[in-house]
Amino acid sequence: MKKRFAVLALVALIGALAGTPAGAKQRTNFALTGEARALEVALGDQGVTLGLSLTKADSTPQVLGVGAGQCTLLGNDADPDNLPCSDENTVVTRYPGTPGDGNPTCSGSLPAPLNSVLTLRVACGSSLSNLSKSGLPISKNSGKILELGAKAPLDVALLQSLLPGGINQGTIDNLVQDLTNTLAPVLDAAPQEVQGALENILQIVQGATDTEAIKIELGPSESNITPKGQTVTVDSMAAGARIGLLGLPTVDAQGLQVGAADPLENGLVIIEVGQSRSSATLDNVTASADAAASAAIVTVKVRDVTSPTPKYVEVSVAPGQSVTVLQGTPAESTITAASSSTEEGEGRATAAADAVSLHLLKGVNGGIRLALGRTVAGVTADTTEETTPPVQKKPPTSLPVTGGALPFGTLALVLLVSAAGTLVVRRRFGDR
Amino acid sequence: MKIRRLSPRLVRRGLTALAVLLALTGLGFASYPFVTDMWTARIQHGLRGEFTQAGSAERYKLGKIETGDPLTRIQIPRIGVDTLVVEGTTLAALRAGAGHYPETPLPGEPGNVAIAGHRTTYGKPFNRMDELGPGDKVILTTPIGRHVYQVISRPIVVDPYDWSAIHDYPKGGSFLTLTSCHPEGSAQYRIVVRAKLIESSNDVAQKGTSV
Repeated sequence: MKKRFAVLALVALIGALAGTPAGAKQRTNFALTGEARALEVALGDQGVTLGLSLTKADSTPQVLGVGAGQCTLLGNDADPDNLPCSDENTVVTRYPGTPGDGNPTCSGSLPAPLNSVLTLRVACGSSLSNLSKSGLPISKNSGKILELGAKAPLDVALLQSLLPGGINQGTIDNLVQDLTNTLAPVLDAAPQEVQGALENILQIVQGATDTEAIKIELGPSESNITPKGQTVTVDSMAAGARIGLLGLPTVDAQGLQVGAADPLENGLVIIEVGQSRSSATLDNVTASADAAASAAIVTVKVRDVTSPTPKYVEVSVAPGQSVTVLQGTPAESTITAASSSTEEGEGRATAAADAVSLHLLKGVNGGIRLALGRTVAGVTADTTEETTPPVQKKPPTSLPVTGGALPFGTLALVLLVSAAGTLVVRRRFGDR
Repeated sequence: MKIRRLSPRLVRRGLTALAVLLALTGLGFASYPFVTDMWTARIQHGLRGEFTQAGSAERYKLGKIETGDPLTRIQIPRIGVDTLVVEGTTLAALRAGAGHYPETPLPGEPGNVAIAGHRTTYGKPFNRMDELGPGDKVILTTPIGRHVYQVISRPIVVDPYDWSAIHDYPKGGSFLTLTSCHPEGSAQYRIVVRAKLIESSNDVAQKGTSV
């Protein structure tokens, strides 16, 4: 019995090696897309998308990858083949075509008139698109900026734009009163104490030249396609950001400035946006797909101006909800946390994490609108049966063939293992 | 009907024969790249003799280079290539490692000189072609001249039937295009590198072209 079983196993092995069985062969057709945007900034009619990564691939096989530092504000459905991005910090790779090497291309400049208000240190894009040894797509794309800030000092950007008639003691008093009324309940402090601290800080701010209204520290966006075994995963990720509003200097007990007025270190409001991620996975054999998404967690910190050292009161924003801080003041800002969603059906799966939306400093010329950490990933797949090989119309000759059509190493290994297996079976016969 | 059972001895012999056959075939596949490398090394040895013969310059000038004859020496310092290129891109000619597309100009001439080379077998002269980038030098030394080309773009991957890489080039210039199969070990696509002539001299004719 054992002997028969061994012979049957050997015959099955040889049958498998001999070639594909007669009859229908299944082929999986698929399309993969992924996109992540680190930040979108809109100031009036002008806008930019910063840190874009995008990828798409199909079973042709074709792969496209884009890593861009900076683009004109993109709409909801950006055309990957025609993106309005800066050549200086954008890398586009294709397979077949230019697979790229994944090295970043960087530059740092914003278009006018945004450049008169915002400063951009360096924007970079990198991309790589290729095929794995098993013929599945690979793509690695990243877009990032190092730092973004508002150029104008606080006293000019905030006060003068608010007060075309000029700054006088009366208007400053009103501003202090507004801020006091807003901050006192948040900080759970006496209004007189808050007012005194604010007056002290504003006196220093008015004399300072390096105070910034907004500063943004931004993580990269990444969109990757990664094959592993029989699965391919599209993964889009925006690494999050820290946004500082109204950099206020730190003062000591005597009311003297002891620290720089950096919005990210000691701003009146600091908003922290966590990582958002969307991913979709395809099983290339079963043509099934699934998806997962996680939205960015948002934390808003309001500085306790009555404390001599930077100390913050934290306000968490639940997914999909909005929080407005400094209400009723020129610095009123609304933060809407993102939500995430997934959708799965037969042979298709999509995941999306909405952008965290921020409308900051509403009282300053309409304010600045930001959208952070939007990610999407999608897979569609189906199978077709090929009973006969597809007829392909080919030109008469190809470019010279300088590579083998057979995977020699793999074949050699399989044959040697089969030889060893045959010897094991033979030994069983010898035992009788 | 009575089915006759095979004797265990016969089965054992059959299995032994099968194991030997599988092992030999497996070893054959495993050693294929090494065997082709050795074959190419032998061909290159013969080509070196032909290339440095006294009459090679004359034959080159008269255009009497037959398929399989040595045409030029190619050196790419960046990826350690130094091999002789034969005329022609037939399967037989390319056993020498690299071959010149016969329908393209000779090295140094106006137009687009094209050379195909193996990546994983037959000496694999273009194995590291994907590492080339703008600025890298490619030197072609013929029996009558030395021509230095400079790579002008990163490698691109094209369909195997896409001849535009050979036929499309900026008119009026002298270019060199290197092609090989892609990905490594597969003939699914072709990888292409384009270079531009930056220096050309025909004074090495009688100084010899020792390789």
